[in-house]
Amino acid sequence: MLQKLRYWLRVFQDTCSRVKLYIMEQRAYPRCILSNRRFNPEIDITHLVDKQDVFVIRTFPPGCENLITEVGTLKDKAIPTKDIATLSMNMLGGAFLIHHCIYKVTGKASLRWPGKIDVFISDYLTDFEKLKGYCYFAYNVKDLHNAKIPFILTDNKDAKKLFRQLELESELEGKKLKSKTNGESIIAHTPSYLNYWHVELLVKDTDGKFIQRDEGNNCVRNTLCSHIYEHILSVKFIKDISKHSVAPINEVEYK
Amino acid sequence: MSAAIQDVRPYNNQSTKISVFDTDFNQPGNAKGLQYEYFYFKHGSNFGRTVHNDWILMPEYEDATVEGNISTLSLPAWYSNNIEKLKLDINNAASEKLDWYKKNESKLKSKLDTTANLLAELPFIKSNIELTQSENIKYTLLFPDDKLLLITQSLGSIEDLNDDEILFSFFVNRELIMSNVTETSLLVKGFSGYLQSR
Repeated sequence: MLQKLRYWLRVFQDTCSRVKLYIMEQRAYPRCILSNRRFNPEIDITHLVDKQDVFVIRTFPPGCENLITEVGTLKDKAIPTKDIATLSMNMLGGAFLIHHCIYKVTGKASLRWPGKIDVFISDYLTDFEKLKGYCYFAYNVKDLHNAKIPFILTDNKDAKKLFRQLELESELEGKKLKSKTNGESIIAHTPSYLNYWHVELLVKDTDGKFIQRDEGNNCVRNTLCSHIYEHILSVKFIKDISKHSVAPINEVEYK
Repeated sequence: MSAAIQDVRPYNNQSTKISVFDTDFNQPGNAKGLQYEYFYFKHGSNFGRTVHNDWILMPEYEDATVEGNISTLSLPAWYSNNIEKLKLDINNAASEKLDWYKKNESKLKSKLDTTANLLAELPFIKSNIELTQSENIKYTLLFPDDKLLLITQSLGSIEDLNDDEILFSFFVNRELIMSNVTETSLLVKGFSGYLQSR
């Protein structure tokens, strides 16, 4: 009973703080994307992409058209090396909508939410900002999750022709091509306090360990990382997600 | 010493690179297996069609018996345009990262020129070269029917990629068809074959 009273008191205080913030500073933050104690600490992305197409979006400063080359690929400088290794993105299909890209979470609000605790915006009033503008590129998680080298699209006539012309039969081990790298990439669900729908693109190095934040320089020394950043992210971006059908993520996946 | 010509391709505007299989090394039980050597021949005045008599053999191979049915070398019709386009791309890429380019000029120039001369044989319609933040060279070639070939060449910064290897990804209608690691000349030869096999 006492616990419930405390909870509602926190809700009341939080509401007052948010109203004050909105009136005094014309700032607000969408409550719908907060982490919530009823949510799973981590959504199983592998399980989810087996069932449906899942899309993630990366926010950029305004002017995304300037980040595209004459050939129609994303320029290398679009994603600075400091952001590589644990590339921040947001998952669509849940409560996170495109217009939420305008909120940038910083400081303690951007830390990993451990699960099982409620989040009150009043605790993070100085840990978010509303950007003046933004643009985005979206990606299908299937293109980024479990990427490997070599890769050959099965049952594809172009792949079969190129395979023959490159004389890759000699590199077969059983029915598969010899692995050229031990690396692996995943999209990991990494909810932060103020954004349950936050995900990161992570790459395992050749020793099988995930390359950590601020280790972008280690990531770029790895063939798989170069493949992900210089090839996949450069080609597979979606300029307008409204042309794709974003399936809602079923509540059983996160509650 | 006897030798047989295996492969002929342009090296730069002035010379042609001929890969020669040296049969002396193809002896049973020889652990070295096949041995390839490279000859560089100056072009005659008629650029793109070099006849055997105009070639100058490097001195150490003067006594070699070069076998093979090559009397005329024809470069693809698009070669000259493509090499000009790639050189423009190289200049643009260098100007974008001028400090790094100047610091590594000799190494970069050698890699860029050699690779561009190979890639110019492919009938691409648009191209782009970038010197990436991770200190790689990234080539992007667009072919008809939205076929896209991306190549990453390392200057040694990618630890699990050998010096003579490149990483490539091939997309059709922006769908990834194949990614692998190979040598540039093998990729160009195989990719040319793929385009012609349609």
